[in-house]
Amino acid sequence: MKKQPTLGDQLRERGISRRTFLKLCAVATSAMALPPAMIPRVAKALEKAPRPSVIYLSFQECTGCLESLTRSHDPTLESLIFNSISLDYQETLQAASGTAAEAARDEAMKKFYGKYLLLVDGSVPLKDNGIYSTIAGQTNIETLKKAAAGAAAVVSVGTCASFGGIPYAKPNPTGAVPISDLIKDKPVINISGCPPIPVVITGVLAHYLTFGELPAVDSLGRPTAFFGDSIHDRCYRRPFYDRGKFAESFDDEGARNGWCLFRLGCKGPTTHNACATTKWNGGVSFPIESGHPCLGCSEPNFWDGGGFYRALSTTTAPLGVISGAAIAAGAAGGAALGAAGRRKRAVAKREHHVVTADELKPKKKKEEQS
Amino acid sequence: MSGLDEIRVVAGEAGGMRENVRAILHEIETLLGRLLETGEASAIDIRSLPLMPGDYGALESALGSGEISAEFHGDSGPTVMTETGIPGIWWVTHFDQDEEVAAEFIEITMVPEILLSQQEDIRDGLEDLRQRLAAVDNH
Repeated sequence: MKKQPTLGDQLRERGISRRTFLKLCAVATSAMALPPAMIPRVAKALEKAPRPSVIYLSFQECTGCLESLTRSHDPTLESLIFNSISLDYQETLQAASGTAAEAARDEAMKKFYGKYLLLVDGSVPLKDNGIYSTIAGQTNIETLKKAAAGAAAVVSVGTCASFGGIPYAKPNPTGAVPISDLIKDKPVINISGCPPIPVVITGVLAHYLTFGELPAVDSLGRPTAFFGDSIHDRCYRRPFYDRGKFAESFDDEGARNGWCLFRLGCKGPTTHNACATTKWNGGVSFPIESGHPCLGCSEPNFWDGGGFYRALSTTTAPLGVISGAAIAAGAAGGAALGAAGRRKRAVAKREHHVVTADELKPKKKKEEQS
Repeated sequence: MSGLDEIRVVAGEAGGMRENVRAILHEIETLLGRLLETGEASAIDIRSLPLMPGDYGALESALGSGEISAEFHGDSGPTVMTETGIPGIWWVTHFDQDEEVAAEFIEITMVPEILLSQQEDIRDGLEDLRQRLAAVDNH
């Protein structure tokens, strides 16, 4: 049997210099959020990396995840990834269509059985035998089970595949579930986000390519290299939170001065993702930098969190999540932590009303009067 | 001037002088001391830092520019290596084919590795030179 060419072989055949290879390794190491001291090890591993087969399935989703990946603003890494994997099935990107496409997938699954990497975006509907999403007459659950059987590992791309996302939101009419609910006998990694940060997707792929295994994950199955810190912990507006300086509306003095957006509903304290450091659109900015609160799109049930503009109360996050200093500062700043605020939230949650940041402000005087 | 330019972006002097820049400079100080004492090179990945708007420029001007600037024109886009005003500290920016920044490091080293001629490339070059000489000699 002919030996599969390694990435090193391929690059040399194409006349790529060692310098260019070292540069690609530096870019990949940065994308994997590994420390620069790892560059020589990444180079060593990538040189010997075989070219893995990748099958990419799309279920109940909006294609935003793939849009994010293919507009990664990082063609160097993107071309490294796309040159070093064999993308054997992706409905939106592949040239083949109809039965030819399905045949290509089945052939790759057979040829690389037990070795291919399975990427999935979208959730899988289970209600009424899964009839709410079918491709070529096959329900998503059938396709997934069949493809996962021969996969070495499964990568859930996006919040829908990771946690159910929007299809899973109440009242979940299709009975949608995340991939990890269905695949129990394979390693599954969740790259959540709506959409996920492009470099996080390519970073995980580069890690698999480099080390032949998926990176370390947190309790929700997400790679800790990117989801280890909360948005709040890495936010450049954090000093304002610590000093109790908040924007109270979108055009007040606080908003203009770039103060903390906590009271406008920012979910940064309970959201884990790399937006605050990696940023978006080639490093231009991220939502908070553009003056909008974080929606918490990389967390489970973000759509049912009770309103994007409703301030978090500390009761929604386990105490361990927010550092002691933040709690102290939050309390000192009177950041919507009052009992009145909590009561209002509970009532609103039941009745599904919208609570404004203004209503959540501690209203001592009024209560004393009543 | 577009309307967007009129929106003031204020990014804080929260906590006094630019905290991030000061912290990074302290880290660089430690790493540069190590380079001098033990010869061990290191690097800081700029993408891994939570920089405020304005921090980047402040860091750049704090380090200043030095005596050497080199450019590598590879297949995957250019890489610019500039020694900062502090010898041993290099600002290395890797661009992709679209000239967008793909990765950026502050390297604490005698010379960035990518600037050195690489063994594999030297070997290929030597082979090439020998072939050319052989063609001339056989003529």
